[in-house]
Amino acid sequence: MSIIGIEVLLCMVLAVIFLAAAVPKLRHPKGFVLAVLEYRVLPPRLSVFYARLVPPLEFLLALLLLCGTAIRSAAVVISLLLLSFIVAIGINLARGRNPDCYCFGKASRRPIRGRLLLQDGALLTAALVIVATASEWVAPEPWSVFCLFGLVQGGILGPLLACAAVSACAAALLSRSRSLAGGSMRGSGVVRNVDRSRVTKPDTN
Amino acid sequence: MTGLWLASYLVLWGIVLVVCVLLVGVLRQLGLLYRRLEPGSPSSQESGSIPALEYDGPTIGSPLVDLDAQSINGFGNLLWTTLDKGEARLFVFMSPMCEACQHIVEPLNALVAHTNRAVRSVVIMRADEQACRAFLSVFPLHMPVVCDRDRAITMELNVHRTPFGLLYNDHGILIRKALLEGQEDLLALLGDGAAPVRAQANVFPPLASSQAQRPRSA
Repeated sequence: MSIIGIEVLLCMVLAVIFLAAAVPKLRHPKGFVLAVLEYRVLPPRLSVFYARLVPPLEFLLALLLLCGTAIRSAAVVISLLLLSFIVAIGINLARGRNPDCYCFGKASRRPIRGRLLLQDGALLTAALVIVATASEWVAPEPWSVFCLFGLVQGGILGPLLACAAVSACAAALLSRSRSLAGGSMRGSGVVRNVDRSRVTKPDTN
Repeated sequence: MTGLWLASYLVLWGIVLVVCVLLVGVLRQLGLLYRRLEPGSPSSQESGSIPALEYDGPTIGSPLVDLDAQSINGFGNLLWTTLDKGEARLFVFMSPMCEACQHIVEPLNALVAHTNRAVRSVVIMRADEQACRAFLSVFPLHMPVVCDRDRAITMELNVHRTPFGLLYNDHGILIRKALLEGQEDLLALLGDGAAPVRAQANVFPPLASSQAQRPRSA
């Protein structure tokens, strides 16, 4: 397999993993904030900022890798993200704590283990390989969908901005999808339907 | 680039996208499967060492326990004793990282805001103080929250599941208990017969039997 083939394969693998990680976190952002707070590595305010930043960033990075745009920069940021995950997991394991990983959001909650460090290390290696093999920092790669469809005439920043716009829209839609699906709880029955007589009367024994 | 090459690239990208969607679907199913089978999940609790819902928590008809604890969210010291009469009381047991507990926060706040103290509520959080405070910073609760660091309260009340609700009537007698997975479960615990059947199944004793007994007790 050629260098470009390896690069494309690693990009797709990382993109799918980061996409799978970002979507549940975007759908349940408060849960992720709580998970980051539970790691107890950063001060609370910084934890909240980090937790708000990571899911849309993961989505954007996955999109950039999927589209073959600015993949060298994306791989550098992914490496830093993975490094932060490894440090957080390592600190907690050293403390003897096993908080929920929350790596893929709520669907894959499991306590952190040493094996997770190996998984993140493997992903970090893949990201570093992309950094080493990719040719462009900002412009699309030759195999990018933008190059294939001839959409780079508008300048090299165009694809980057398009990915950023798609990520922002997706993040907004995904975070709203949960509240729309769940509906507003307020005033929707909890109060109206409480039959006080059934609470106050002993109906057993 | 010839038309044939362009077509093959397009087909290849189409295949990549389909494979991505399939992979995400498979990962999701694997996650759900893992979640269902992992120890501590609701489905495994049913068959594991956790007692059945009927035997989880105090027995129906048992009196209110004495609760003397400090709330961690500014409601001061709580002193509930068996001598307290006149108000129904709701105990809700939670864990910070339990997802269903996060979903029940909003209905609980709505209940407190609108029932005009018909039901006095307290949340018992099964975690250390830092985890409790972290939970409250993300999911504020407008009722007293007691941090059960050493699990003394949960052990005394023999509660194994979260979020779990105990409803005491105004005579201080436990009349209903339920696994609270959502707003409907809270409604069912409070005795709303219009709650969905699924929610009523999470309540013990079942609402239908309570309704059957109602004429006799009235």
